[in-house]
Amino acid sequence: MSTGNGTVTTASSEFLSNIIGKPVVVKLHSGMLYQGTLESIDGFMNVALNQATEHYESEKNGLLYRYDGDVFVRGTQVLYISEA
Amino acid sequence: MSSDSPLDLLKLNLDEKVYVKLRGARELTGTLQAFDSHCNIVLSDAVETIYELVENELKSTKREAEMIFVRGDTVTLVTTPSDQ
Amino acid sequence: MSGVEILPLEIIDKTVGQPVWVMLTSHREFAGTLVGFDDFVNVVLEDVVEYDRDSEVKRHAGKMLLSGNNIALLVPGGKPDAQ
Repeated sequence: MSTGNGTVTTASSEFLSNIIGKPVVVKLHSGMLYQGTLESIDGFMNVALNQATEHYESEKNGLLYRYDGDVFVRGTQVLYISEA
Repeated sequence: MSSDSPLDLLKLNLDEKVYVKLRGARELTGTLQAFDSHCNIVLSDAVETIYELVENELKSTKREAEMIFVRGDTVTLVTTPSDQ
Repeated sequence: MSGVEILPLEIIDKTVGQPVWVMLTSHREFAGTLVGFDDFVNVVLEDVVEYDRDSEVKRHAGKMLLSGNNIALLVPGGKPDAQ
């Protein structure tokens, strides 16, 4: 776990490779929440989502927007990625 | 690991109309001319919309630019525009 | 150097599989089970309750990758009177 030497799979990289193609929620530092299918993700937490919906803080607070195309979310803004 | 990264998805939008969400309730639409890994972006025929609350009413201001450079750190999201 | 020095991350390594309470530099907190972490202290949690200013905002049944960027504190044992 500690000595990162290229071949070591960390908990984070294992999680990321396991959730590609699955429904996820992504929250930004601003509190904006995006729910959609995870197309791809990189080590900077840049995220590509398909069929994303936009909410504030929680889906319970209602739908703000529905994106038809793919959505790119910038990694520096990402607070977390969670299984939906 | 997925073969394509989220930034590769942006590459598919080169020369196409894009919608860029920025920090501070700003958004841009325009034609994607260039971008880099920091999400610095160049748009042509860009329209910027700024939303603000004036006396508790949502007000939006628009302005246009033939060519605009957007510094990557303000970018939160990039997608294809649905309408307008 | 004494031979009994304990590295901070060794403490976190020992709480893998156990409840943990994560506090960010903002007013946001997460309580869940620690699945693992990486060298940047990005953290993978499971069965998470997310709080803002001590009020619950959202529950996450599965796993979550929490960016280490804004983590201020990891408390082994979890949040008192959580879940």
